[in-house]
Amino acid sequence: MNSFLKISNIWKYYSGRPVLKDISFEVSRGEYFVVLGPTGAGKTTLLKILAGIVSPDKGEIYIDGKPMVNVPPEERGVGYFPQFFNLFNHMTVWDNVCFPLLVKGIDIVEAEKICKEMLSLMHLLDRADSYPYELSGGMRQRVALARALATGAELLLLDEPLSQLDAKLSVELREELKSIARSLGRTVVHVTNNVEEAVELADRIAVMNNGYIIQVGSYDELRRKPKNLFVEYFLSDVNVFRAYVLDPHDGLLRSSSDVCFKFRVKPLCEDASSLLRSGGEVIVCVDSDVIVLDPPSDSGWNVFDAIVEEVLFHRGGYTYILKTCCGATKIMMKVMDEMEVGIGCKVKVGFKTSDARIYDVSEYDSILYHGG
Amino acid sequence: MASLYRKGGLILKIAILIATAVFVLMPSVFLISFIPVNWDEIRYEIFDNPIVGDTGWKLIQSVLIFSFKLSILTALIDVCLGIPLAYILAYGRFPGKSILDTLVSLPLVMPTSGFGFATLISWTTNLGLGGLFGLKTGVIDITSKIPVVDIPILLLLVHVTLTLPYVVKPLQARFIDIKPSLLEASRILGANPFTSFRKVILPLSLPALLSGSIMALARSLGETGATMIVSGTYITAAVAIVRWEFEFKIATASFLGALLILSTWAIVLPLEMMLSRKGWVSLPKILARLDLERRVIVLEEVLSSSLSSIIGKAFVVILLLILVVLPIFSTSYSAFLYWGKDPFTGKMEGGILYQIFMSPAGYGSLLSRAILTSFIVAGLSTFLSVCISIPLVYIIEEYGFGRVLRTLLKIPLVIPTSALGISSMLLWGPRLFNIVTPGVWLITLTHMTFSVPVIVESIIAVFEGSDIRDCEDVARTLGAKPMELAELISIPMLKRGILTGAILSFTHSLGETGATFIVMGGDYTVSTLVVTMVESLAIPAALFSTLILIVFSLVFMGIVKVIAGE
Amino acid sequence: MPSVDIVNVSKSFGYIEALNRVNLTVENGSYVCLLGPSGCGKTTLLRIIAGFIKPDEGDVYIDGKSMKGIPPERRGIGFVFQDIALFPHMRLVDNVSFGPEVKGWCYKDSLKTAIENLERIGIHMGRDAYPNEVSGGIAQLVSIARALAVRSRLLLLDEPLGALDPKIRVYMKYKLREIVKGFGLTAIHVTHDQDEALSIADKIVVMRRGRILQTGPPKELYWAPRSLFVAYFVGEANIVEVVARCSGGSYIADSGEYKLICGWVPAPIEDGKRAILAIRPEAFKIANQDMDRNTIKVEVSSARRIGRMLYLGIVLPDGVHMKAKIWSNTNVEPGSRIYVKVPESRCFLYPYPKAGLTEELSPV
Repeated sequence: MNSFLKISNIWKYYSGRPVLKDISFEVSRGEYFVVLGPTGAGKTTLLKILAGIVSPDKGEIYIDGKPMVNVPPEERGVGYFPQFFNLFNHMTVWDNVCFPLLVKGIDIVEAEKICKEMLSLMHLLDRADSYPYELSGGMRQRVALARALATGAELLLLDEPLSQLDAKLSVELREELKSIARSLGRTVVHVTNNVEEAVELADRIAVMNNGYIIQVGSYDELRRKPKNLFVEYFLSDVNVFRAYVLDPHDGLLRSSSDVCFKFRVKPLCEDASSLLRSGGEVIVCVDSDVIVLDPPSDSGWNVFDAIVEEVLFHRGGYTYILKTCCGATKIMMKVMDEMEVGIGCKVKVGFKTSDARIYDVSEYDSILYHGG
Repeated sequence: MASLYRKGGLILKIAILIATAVFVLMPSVFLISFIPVNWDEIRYEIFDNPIVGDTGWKLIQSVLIFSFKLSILTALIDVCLGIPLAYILAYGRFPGKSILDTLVSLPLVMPTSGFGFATLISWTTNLGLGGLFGLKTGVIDITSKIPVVDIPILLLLVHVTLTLPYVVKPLQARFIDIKPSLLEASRILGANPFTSFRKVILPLSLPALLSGSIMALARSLGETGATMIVSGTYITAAVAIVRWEFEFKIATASFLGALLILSTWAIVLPLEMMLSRKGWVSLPKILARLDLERRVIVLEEVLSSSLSSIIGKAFVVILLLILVVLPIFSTSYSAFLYWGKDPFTGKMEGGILYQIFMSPAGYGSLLSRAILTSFIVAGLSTFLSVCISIPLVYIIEEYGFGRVLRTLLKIPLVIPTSALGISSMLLWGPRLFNIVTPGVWLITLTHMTFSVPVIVESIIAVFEGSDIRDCEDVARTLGAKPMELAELISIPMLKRGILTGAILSFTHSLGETGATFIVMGGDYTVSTLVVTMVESLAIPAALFSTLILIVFSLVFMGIVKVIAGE
Repeated sequence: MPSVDIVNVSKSFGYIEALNRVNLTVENGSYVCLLGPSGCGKTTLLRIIAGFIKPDEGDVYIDGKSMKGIPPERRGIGFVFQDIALFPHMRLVDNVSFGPEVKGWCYKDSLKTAIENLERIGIHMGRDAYPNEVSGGIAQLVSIARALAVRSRLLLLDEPLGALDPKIRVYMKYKLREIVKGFGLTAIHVTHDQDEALSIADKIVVMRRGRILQTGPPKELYWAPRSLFVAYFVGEANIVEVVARCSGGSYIADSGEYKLICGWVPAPIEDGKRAILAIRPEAFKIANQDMDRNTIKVEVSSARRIGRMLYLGIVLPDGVHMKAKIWSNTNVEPGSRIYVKVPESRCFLYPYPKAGLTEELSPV
């Protein structure tokens, strides 16, 4: 792999507490690389280390093969886009975008040409004389992007570039962001806590939590082989149950909170099978879109009774919130079309034994951060 | 290249820290060393004099007790008046609010001696309030006092007016800082405005109130200029230092100064350390536990009525009119009356024209020299202080010891300026460096001691209220080298704080009296000249000089408003 | 359970008209979302209901009672703030008991109610923590418990999920609805997030420029948008200019290369006039051949699978790019040609906007 950006074994401590733990990854030239994780995972610190604003306590950074750790930010030549835009409010839009060219001492005619190009790329030419505080959120976002692009840097570092915008606008600008990065051939490291955004933009995603990079890969890879419960949970709308193992050979489990909710699982890999120890507790994950109404009653399926508690509309179809008949386990089921069953109806639902993934019970804490 | 910058930066930082230590911190603590070093001298003069025994010590005790009584009472009244005032200024919406806002901060920029004289005119003569009510005399006499505590009313009035902004301004800023949603949450949960204030706003702003009132107490303790004019036969500790220094009782003056510095520290420093960084306190629910809450709420319901809000606003307006506007008007009115001749005797010699411009031995040349001196001192000390302050702010913000440094910088602001003056004189004069004698240069050095903290605080206010840190980081990633960073980002972004600080420091310097008296030698400044004029009963000259001071401060206030509104 | 009637409410801030003669009825026990872009007046409307702002004109009735001149503290409403707004100087439990206390309940009852409410909302531990010590999700739950502690039956929510992480937002969305339904409340919830509104509300009110554009249940708004802006703003829509053909009472969108029968035409369009065709990405279905009505042969330009949903970029015969989301188990390769069908009822046709397309779609 022709790696353009290489990071190895980065550690960073804040007042004795590690916020980045042994971070290593490589990004190839022209790649759109997204670092995805919840608030407080250490994403912004990582980006600031790449930009040179924060220096790491340990580890190496190479850009285009050159070591960067001791290079100050002004000599690194990266385009950095801060989360809150941090536009220079005392300068016009034009001066903001011209700033990197000015301090580089680029010939004034040339600088004006580049500046004009950037502003027209961002549809901002008619606002060149405005001050940043006179602009809407979407426009400020574009100015910050134009400013970062004007450096001519090959590496763009974007810190939650879409998080400050209205939902609708944020979705629209996603496409624009990607097409600009593509057309200019820039390498991008983009930090976000929004899964949809990551999925739509990324060539590869690094999932980050609690200062670690847990897994790096394309979205498909991450979905197909999530390394742990956190990756699985964070990337998809998944039902999570805690369950006791009743019969390890048959894969028969019983929900921890619900005595009569029993089901079987058929682990696909060795690691998972080894978790099934008699009497032990495991975490079971079942995607909300693999659960179906009136499943076939063969041995490959778990079938159980449930009551429809809520039917919620969403863009891709409907979400049914079901409650198992005998207890308090809630199950989410996503379907394309509205079904003939309303709230309060008793239904038969099920999922394939091979559609359940199992994880060690100790991982449960990693998804509890939302305090559910 | 980069390492060169880094080395240069380090050298600059050390130089700035040394300058801060020498110009700001040392003058404010040096006086304390006077006690152990000159103990024999002190004992001879104060405790064990062959002729008068320990009269000196008794005198010191009595002025200290009087001073503390005065400043504690002042601070208490400030709190009582300041809370509603700050509340109305922060939350009220009514026409003329910005004028009220200006009036409250006017005493901050008004030279105190001039203001003291203006207040004296408006309360004790029929040119002010007395004339308004058709009396032949003023409404109170300079010797009228509050019975039990034995404090002259006029003195208290002046102290309250001059220190009120120290309570109101931080409190008002804190009130505005409290998220509106907290107040709305309280209201929608069923609390009337008054209850919301008691249960939400007050606990969230108690630290600000506390530090504001301590500041007011310290300022009252150190007030010199106005006090010298209105205190009559009473004498406060700060004034005593000036008087005794003039009588060459250096040891007594220094000893009292050191005591004042130590006691100010004893009050301020523990509090600064104690004040929680989170900026609020959590109050125990005593009322609720005693089930008295309900009755208090019923009472508060009544107080929350729209009638009481109108009464509150009227009260604020009248208060400010009496305390701040009245003295300015009576001074202008008196100056108008006294312009050509004394309005009572009709004598030309008693008029401003004669005393300032015509009399051969007149005050004209003295006044113009004093104005020149004042401007040189204020300009120079402000300029030098700005040069130190900008890098100092970065040092404070960057390093862990910054918080301590910031607290230390508050010392020159709270210790009585007359003590500061004597300390500075001893430090630069015979007792240590022995390089500067009283005069313009010593005044400049002394004024720098409080100018630096004033400027630093206003730059920090802008620094912490903006995203300048992040902007600098971004600018660096965009390729800006340190010099370009300072020129294109840092200085323009901090401009507002620098200018506001500079003007505040300039007006502070212009109005300073206590320290200046001690270190000026023969070089009078305008505010010290006013005191001298009043003491030598040259009323018309004093009127004219006061008017000039008022005009200056109004102009500066206007400039501050324009900058702040930018 | 209270109902809310908003009658002819107008409000201006200086020259800016925030609300223009808004009328709205919120039925007992319903969960209503006010949805619109920033600056559309939705928050102003909510704050008028709460009594934080006085309307210039019109009135708000809660349970048929006029709210004119009644301060917020006497309206008996629960309010949840975007910035959560827990009192930082009080423990969580004291935050919840604040309402009962200031209503003059005795200390014991206040405390008991506070603990009960916290438990009902699912917070069993850490009641003595301070707000800055807990996560945003928990803090927002506590603030809901606080709003409900004084037994308000009307809950107003101002972007309650705005300050939270996207992942927690999904969880909180369901939790919010569960709480509102479980406590039997009437809720009015302000948001700019269409997905949030669609999956949480019984009824959505779409607002823009101080006016209400359309009111209806999520499904109706999504599949029967009365104006082009609603079609565009609520969810996503592929928007193309076509020529309208009107024959025998049914409308046909004619692009030149293909024709689609449009089943949803809310405003009459003259035959042969310019018109706008809007198709939601979810409206497409994969067809086997073009024998069916409304079937078009398209080229797949990009394909991605998320769960069971296929996200396709397709190119229509006239070169127009569209987005399609199709629920399917079979994969489609980019570059291949497939047949897609759009059911008649899911083809929306609108007259070409007089002020131009950009203006019509502009959020503010």
